[in-house]
Amino acid sequence: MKTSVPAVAVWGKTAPSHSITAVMITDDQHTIVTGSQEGQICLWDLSTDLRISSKEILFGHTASVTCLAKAREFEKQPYVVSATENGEMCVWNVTSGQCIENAKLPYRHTAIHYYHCSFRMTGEGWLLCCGEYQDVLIIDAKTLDVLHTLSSSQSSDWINCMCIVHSARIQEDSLVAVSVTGVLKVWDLSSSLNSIQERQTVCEKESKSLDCINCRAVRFCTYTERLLLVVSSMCWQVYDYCDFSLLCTEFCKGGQCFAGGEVLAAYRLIIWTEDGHSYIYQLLNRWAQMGNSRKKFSGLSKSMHPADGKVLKETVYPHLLSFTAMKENKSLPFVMSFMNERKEPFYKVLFSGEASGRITLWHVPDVPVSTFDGSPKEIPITALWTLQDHFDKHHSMSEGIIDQLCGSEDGFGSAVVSSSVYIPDLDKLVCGCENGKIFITVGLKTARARLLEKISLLRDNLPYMVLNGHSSRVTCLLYPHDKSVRFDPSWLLSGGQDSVVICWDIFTGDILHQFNLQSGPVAELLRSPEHYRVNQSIVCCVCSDHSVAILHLHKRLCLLHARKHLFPVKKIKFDPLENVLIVGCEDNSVYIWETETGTLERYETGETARAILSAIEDSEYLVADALLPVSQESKRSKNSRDKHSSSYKHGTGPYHLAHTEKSSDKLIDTSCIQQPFTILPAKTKWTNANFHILLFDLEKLEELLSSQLHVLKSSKSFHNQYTLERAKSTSEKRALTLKRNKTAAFIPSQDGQADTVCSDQVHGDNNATRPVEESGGMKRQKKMKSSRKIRMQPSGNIDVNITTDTAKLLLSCLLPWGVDKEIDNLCVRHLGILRLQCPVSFGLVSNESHLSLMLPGWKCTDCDVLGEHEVFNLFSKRVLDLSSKYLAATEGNTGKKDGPENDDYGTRDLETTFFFFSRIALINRITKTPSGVTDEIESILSVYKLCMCFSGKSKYHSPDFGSIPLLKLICCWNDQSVKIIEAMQAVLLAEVQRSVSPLRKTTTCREPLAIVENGNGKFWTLPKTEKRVLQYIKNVSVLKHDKSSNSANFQDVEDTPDRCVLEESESPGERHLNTATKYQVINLTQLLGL
Amino acid sequence: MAAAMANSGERAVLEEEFKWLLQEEVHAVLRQLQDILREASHRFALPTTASGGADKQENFVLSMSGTDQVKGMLTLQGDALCQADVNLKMPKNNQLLHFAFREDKQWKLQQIQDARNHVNQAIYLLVNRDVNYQFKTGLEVLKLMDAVMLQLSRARNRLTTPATLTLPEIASSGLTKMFTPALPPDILVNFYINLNKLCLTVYQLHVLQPSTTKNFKPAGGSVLHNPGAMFEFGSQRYEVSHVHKVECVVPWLNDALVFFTVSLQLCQQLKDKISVFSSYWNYRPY
Repeated sequence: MKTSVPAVAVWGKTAPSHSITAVMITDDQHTIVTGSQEGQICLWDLSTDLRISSKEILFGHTASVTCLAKAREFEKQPYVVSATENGEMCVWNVTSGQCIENAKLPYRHTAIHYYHCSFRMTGEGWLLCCGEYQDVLIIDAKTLDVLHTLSSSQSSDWINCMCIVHSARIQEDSLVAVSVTGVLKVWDLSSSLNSIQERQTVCEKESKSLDCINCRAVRFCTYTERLLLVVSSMCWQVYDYCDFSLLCTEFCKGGQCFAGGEVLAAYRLIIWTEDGHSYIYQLLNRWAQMGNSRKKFSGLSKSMHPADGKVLKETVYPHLLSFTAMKENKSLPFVMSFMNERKEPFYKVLFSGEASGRITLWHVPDVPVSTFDGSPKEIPITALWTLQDHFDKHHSMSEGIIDQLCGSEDGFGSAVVSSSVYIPDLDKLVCGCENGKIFITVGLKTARARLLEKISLLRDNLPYMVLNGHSSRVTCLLYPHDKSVRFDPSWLLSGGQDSVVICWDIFTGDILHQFNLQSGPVAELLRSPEHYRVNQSIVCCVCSDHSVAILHLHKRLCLLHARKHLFPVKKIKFDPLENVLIVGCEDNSVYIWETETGTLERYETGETARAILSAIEDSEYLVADALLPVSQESKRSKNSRDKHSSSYKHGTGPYHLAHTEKSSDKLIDTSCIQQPFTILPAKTKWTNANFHILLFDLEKLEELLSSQLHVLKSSKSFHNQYTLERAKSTSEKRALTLKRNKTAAFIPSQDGQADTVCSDQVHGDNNATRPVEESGGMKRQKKMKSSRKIRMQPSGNIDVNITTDTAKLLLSCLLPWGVDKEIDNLCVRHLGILRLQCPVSFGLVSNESHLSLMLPGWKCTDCDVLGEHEVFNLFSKRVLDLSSKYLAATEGNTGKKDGPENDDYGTRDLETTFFFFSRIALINRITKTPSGVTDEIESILSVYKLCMCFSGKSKYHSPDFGSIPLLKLICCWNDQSVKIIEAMQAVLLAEVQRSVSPLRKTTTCREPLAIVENGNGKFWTLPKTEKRVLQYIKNVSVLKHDKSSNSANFQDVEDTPDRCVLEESESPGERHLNTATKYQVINLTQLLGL
Repeated sequence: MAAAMANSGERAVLEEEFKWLLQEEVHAVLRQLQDILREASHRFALPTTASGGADKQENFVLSMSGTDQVKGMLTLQGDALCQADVNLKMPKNNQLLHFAFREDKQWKLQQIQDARNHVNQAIYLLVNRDVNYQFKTGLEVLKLMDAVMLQLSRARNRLTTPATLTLPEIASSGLTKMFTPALPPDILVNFYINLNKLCLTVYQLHVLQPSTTKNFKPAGGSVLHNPGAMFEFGSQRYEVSHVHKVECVVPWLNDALVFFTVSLQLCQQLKDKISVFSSYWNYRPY
């Protein structure tokens, strides 16, 4: 399992386009979730006074999002499920932005409802889904496996919309659905739980054809428990749920189309339209006034006028109370939804998302009234927001990566980067601009210049090159050498809006050749795959008039320009030996060209074409419509579990949606990162503007840093090595271990996590035994003195710079600045961690293909609250709290940490950086899995590793100074769904405060922070299961260790019961974990027995 | 494009042209598209809810020229096969078998239903962009076209790509239980649409004895299985001995496919026209 990779987004001036196709508000009314046609999910913060600010953008889907729904009981787990056009489903944690589960099913959902029946259901509940398939699918909310189907006995068809009817009166949960042909169907849910679990056929209880086509919404009135609202595009209708008799119909006016509706209160409805209007109606109900006689009456009227709704229509008729409207800037379609909350402090909120990416919010009053003269009253818009608003508001945050260059270049202002490529081997970032210029800069330096403050020096000295050749926008760039050695390393290709492809010398900036294609903007430049038979420097060029040009770079020749394709090109195979060019188009047609004469040899459609296309399936260029184009070679399908109906049979004749559709199954391929630092150019669909994502490989960086440390010390004696270790580690026991292993071979730090956790354990033990620890501390200080002289030796390693610069850049991005001015200054002066210019958009790549990025404007409002200082880059207020907790929890270790006390050490700087880093990496490792069972097991596993270390004899070296409290704390944070980055920031802040504090004249910081901690005893809690294992391991290790550690261990064991008691009260969801844990324990015993 | 070189005069002209494209041409194309799709939708004879039984029934005779081994008489009503008569002459003994659908049963052709639904979705996307709607950006048109084309290509794919089924899937489908007299256990039937043709396949099976020396290798999913394909169903192993495939052109399916292709091309052309002006999107006057 891969750990998550921290990322920092450098946006441009324009926000990524986000055409909203689905919108929802979470149950706590704190987050708005939107899904877009581009495939991203956006999280918006909704403040208590109903202000919207964009928070986070989640990448992961490769196609348009069709629907969103909650995927758990929200109070327990803030999970939301999203589904896309191409059948992907993803469960997201909307507080942390992490992808919890993903799957790809051959079904396209258009609506999902979460259903959980707590007392009769095992598991996490069901997702009831409908869409472009017959009837209703039941999908497990946890695993996303198809469990079963609700089938129809007659007129089965696609379901357009549905709702869950839960009524105390009826004593049965039902699913009411309306099919595309307007047939209303009712399935029993609670009474068919068993048959669903046993996979028996479940047919509808009721099926009735309504007189409405294109039904958009169906809602049950929970207030009257009687009325059923059905909204179709032409009209809305109210039915009596008891006998499905029509009570009233209202047609839409003025060419509008109804899009949905909701019941506001008893006899009060809100209906909205496709173009963003909404109407609130009061149902004037004569029969309601009649009370109990109502039923008789309606029965009577029916008998008088059988199968005729006209009379009933007069019985109930709608009266328009108020409305909401959109005036300017319409862009269809509007996706609207309504959130009805009766409890304070929640609101009744109507909200809509538009294709333009704008969110509009109306606060609907509890009792909407019409104006005095009886005409409907307009409800004003409460809030309005787009992504771009924040980009405009926070200029500095949304500055492009090379904007500073363009500014200095000419007075023209900044040019928008329209395409870019990063060459990892050369650390070069090549950016093509809107105005035809191409900038070549050094990646890391550019990033530093962009992000850090007071580097005007660096900025002015930033080496860069400008290539002038294109007359208009540079549409694509290709550096062919980085994947294939047969290309000359100096070649850089660029394609432009002006239909010109230029081959540059990347080192000199000369134009080697210019191909004039004259067929519209160059859409894409593709290099042939590596296993290509002919070793020629051939590049394929796709133009926007769907023509394909084959360019021979060495001969500087356009071999063929095939121009007849009617549809966008999807696949290309070029074979000079066979003398053919095969082009597959989006409409599944195939063109076969003869390369020598340039004539079209064959044109195929249908089955033959499909056969040809499948034959060239994975052998050739694929034109990627990928979101983040770096990943053209990545195979995302490997990660997302492709679930076909093999384990599950669809009721009536299973069918696979085996459409060969254009699917861009590529997102990000983190595996391609060899360097610890990479710039990933990214682009959302539809926009020309690029943004960049800086990726930091924590593990790699940590590894590099530590090896550098060792390089620095390697010339020195064992004693030196030893003292270094002493300096870093702190405890008596460590010392013992080190002494024992002093003569053992040098084991580099990358040796694995086992060591890491091992040292944690050691610390934990010592933590519990203060006296021992203190004496250890004393000894350490003595040793420190002895080591000092040797450490003075200068380090002459140049390579260090890149790694440390990268590491420090990341630390700068992680640190909250302005919490304490003095610390800031100390950091800058002594540690070389420079201040940020502006808050950064931090992000995380997890699961290799899911990326969450913070957007400009996240939490910006409540960040500058701490005292008089201006705090920025604080991920959340919680971080301060967490960091103080952390400080307190690891208080015992403070005294003995490696002191950066000695300012003049050449390596101190590096060492501290490394120390911070190892901490962050450790946190990353611990929290790499989303909270829950996996986590538990993960930690148990690590404990197990640790325990193996104990029983094993060797392994003295470990780069980590983690401690058991730290582990516990992080685990605990995990349960409280603290984000990884929050945890990282908190720990970093704490460690920085601690390590810097000796540098200050006055120590002021720690006391106030500690006070905060006092009020909260909870953080000591540790999942009980893990503790048990820990305890167990300790007991075991006791047997294996010498006397000194013995006492320590016993003390710790005695300690635990107290904490257990504390623990008892919370941890509701942990009981089911016990079995897994037991299993682990057994495993451990077996292994330890060996 | 040359656009980059254009001087301001040319630029003004081009901008004017783009305006015209958005305001006039797009609507003209959408109108045309809607007409074609409505025509296509009519072909699918959406069963109108009010008059459920009024759908017209069409009879098709499925046979292979030259042989009369398998003959099917199918009645199609909208998306459902409401009657089916299958005559099968056993090759061994020339015995004539006859099966028909039970009176109360209908077989829904999922492919037709899906195609019909996809077309209607496409129409629905276009409906509220009538002449009164003003497109403000080229992007908006592209997005709309993408959504429409997605539905259309799915509709077409649904007809051109029959489901690939494994033999056990065919055996377990409800189709086998629909006949009277009941299908003998050694015969499987399958109906599907392939392009414009209604197809019937009949598989004759023979039971593989457990003692057989033959290598048992279950066949995967396929539209049409070949003789010799093996599978296991209900703890019994079978091998396909004969395959008969008969088909018949459904004229309105052919029309529908032509409509799909034409409208897809229309969409793509509109997209292409819009993208010619892509360099002007940023200079949008309104």
